[in-house]
Amino acid sequence: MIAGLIGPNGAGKTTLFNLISGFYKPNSGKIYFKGKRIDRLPTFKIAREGMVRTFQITRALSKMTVLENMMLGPKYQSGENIMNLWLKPKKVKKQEESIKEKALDVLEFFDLLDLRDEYAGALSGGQKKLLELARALMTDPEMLLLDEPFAGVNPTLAMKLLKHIETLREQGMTFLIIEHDIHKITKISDKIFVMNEGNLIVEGSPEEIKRDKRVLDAYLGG
Amino acid sequence: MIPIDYLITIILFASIYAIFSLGLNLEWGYTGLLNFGHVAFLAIGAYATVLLSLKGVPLVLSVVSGIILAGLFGFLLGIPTLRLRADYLAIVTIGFSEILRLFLLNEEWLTRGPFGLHGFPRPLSLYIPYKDYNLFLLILVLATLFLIYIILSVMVNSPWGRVLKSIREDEDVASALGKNVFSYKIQSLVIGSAISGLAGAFLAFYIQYINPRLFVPMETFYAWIIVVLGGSANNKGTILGAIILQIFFSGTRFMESSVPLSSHQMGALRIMVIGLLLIILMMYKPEGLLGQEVSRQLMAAALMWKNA
Repeated sequence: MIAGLIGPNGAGKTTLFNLISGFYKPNSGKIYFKGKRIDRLPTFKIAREGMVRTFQITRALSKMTVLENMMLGPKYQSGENIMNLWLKPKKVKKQEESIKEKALDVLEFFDLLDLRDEYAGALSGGQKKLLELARALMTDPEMLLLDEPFAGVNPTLAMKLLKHIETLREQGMTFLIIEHDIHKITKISDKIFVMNEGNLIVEGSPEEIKRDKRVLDAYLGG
Repeated sequence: MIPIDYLITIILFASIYAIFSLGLNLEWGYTGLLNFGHVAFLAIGAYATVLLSLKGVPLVLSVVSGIILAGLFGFLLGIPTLRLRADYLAIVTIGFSEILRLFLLNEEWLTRGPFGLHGFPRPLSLYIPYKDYNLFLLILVLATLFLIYIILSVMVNSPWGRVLKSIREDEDVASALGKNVFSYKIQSLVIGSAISGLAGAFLAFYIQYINPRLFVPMETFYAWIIVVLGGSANNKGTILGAIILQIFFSGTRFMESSVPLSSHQMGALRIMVIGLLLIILMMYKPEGLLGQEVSRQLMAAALMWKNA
């Protein structure tokens, strides 16, 4: 399922993302994911639960290669434990190989395969967006929080990104997407939430949202 | 001709500083930790080794204790600071290194203060003739340097090292991908400090006399110069940096006789020249001599991509 989150500038969309992903701690209220309360967990534990976010301003790990960026993704890598490097080198190496294989597959899916040995900092803005999504996918998430995935991406690339997201939805992944462009988000979302001044003002299907007067008011400042 | 003894001295010093700086390179080069008190761990390693061995603790055990103690202090300093942003670690570590130096200077019952400590045992010194001892120590230090280099290479090129690099690049991304950033920073600081502690033990063995003056903040910045000069996140670069700095020091010492300056003035001039060289380096080759470099070629390729 794809849920869209829209609202004018300053509505609190990114703040909501920061709350859900654990970067901010809420003053009040509770956040549940898969029936488990997560609002007190640190960010990395929320990510391990299977909910992974991307950032509005892309954050490629510039001085790491595209492939390294990708291989960072998977959770619970045995080679991330310093003792295992010495005690279980074979296991580490084997896992590393399968992670690499998977990374190359995902890179191919995103048309980034040729760039695998480039530093991530050398990619274009749109490519960085793709890389960030691809890297998030490497964690095998159940739910992805995407903060304006189409912003600053040229139309051709945006179409491609859109198609990728729809493919992933068909595979059973859940999305919560922040997007400014109402037309784009109503096209792909199953459900849309509209925020304004820190509050949820409307929720409903894309058709309902398009007709709702309150949404228009929020955007036009009526 | 440079006498062989002098050559041994230069290489010994360079190797000890290389070990010392490899610890910093793990912290700064790979993890992005701003440790401005690296010398403290050198001091802990040196003093712990010497004090314990003077108390009759077997030498190997003394050295190991020095390493562990240095690591432990890294851990203790990391706990309150590494959850915060980078500058807090810098402030706390530089403060700690000065507090420690003043402690060593003033707690005379323990350290003999400004008089320093000497006459402590050195590894296998009973079996090796005094005139050959530096050569033996050189071999020991070089072997250790090689071993540490190999161990670090395995670590930084592993998934573990990949997490460190991701923290250096952007720790929010690392935690958003499920990495326990705090834990990795602590590990990096502890290991870097422990390596520095080992360098401290070797420093003591080599100069056979330690006192608090050896551990002034400038020593920390020599390690920084070495790391930045060779190229952050490049262990070969760090070793190269240590060699270059040592050659620079020795070379300018040779020149002392032909320059109408007192040795004190010469010392100040030396540091000024280093500063100047660093500025030039940062302007023309900011990634260091060997650098983990985002090379010009790569940047050019990226520009072409964008324009295409």
